[in-house]
Amino acid sequence: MAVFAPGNSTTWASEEALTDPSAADVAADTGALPGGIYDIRVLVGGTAAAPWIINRRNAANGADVGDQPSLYTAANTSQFAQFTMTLEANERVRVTLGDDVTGVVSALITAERLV
Amino acid sequence: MADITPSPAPTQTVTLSESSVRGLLNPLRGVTAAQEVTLSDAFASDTPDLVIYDSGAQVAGRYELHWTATGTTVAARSSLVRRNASNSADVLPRARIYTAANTTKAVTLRVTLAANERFLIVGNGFGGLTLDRLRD
Repeated sequence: MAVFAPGNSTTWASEEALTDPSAADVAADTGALPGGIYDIRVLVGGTAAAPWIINRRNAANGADVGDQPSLYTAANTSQFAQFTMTLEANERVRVTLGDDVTGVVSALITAERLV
Repeated sequence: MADITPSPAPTQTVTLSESSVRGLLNPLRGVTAAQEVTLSDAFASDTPDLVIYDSGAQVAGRYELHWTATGTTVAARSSLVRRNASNSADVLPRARIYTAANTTKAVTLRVTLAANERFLIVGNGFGGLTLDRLRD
C-alpha cells in the first residue's frame, strides 16, 4: 500500500465526455508533473466497448517512456486501476484511446506524489 | 566508606511529530473528519443530470473519497462534479462511472479541495460518497 506524504496536492485530469473518439485521441492528461514517485489512479468507461492505453510521456511530450499498459472496457461499464509510477521532471501521464470508438467515453486520472 | 546511592533511572520523553508518525499509518488512519455515506434514493432514468448527492461545502484540504454508483436494473451513468465555493460552476471536468444493468461500481480517489468547494453526484442511478479529510 502506498504511503502518502503530507502536503502533496492531487492532480486531477479528466474528460467527461468524448463522442465518437478516434484511435490515439487523448482522453485525459495530467500535464507536466514534478519528478517523483506517484500514486496514479485511472477511471475509464463509456457507452461502447473501448480499449484504453496508459501513456507515460517524456518531458517534451513527444514520445512514450517504457511500456504502455492497456485497459479494456465493455459497453456501459467503467474500470478503475491504481498503480505506482516513477516520473522524471516534467513527464506526464495520459490516457488515450486504443482504437476508434462509436459512442461516448469518459476518462479520469488522479496523480499524487508520494516521494 | 561513603554510601553509594543509586541514581534514579533516567527518564526520557520521546515526542513524535504528527508528520513522523503519519508515514507509519495508512491514509485512513490519517482521517481528521469523516462523513457517513449518503445513499440517495433518487432515481430517474429520464433525467441523467439529476443531483443525487451533495456533500455540502467542505473545508480546504486533502480528501480521500469513496464513490459508489449503481444503475439498478438498467444501464446508467453517474458523474462526480467538483463545484466551486459558491456552488455556481464546475471546478474541473466531471468524472463518470458507467454501470451495466444490475451492476455496481466503486472507486477510491484522492483530491485537494479549496475552501467551501463541494462534490455533487449527478446521474440516473443511485449513488453515494464518503469524503474523508486527511491530515496534513
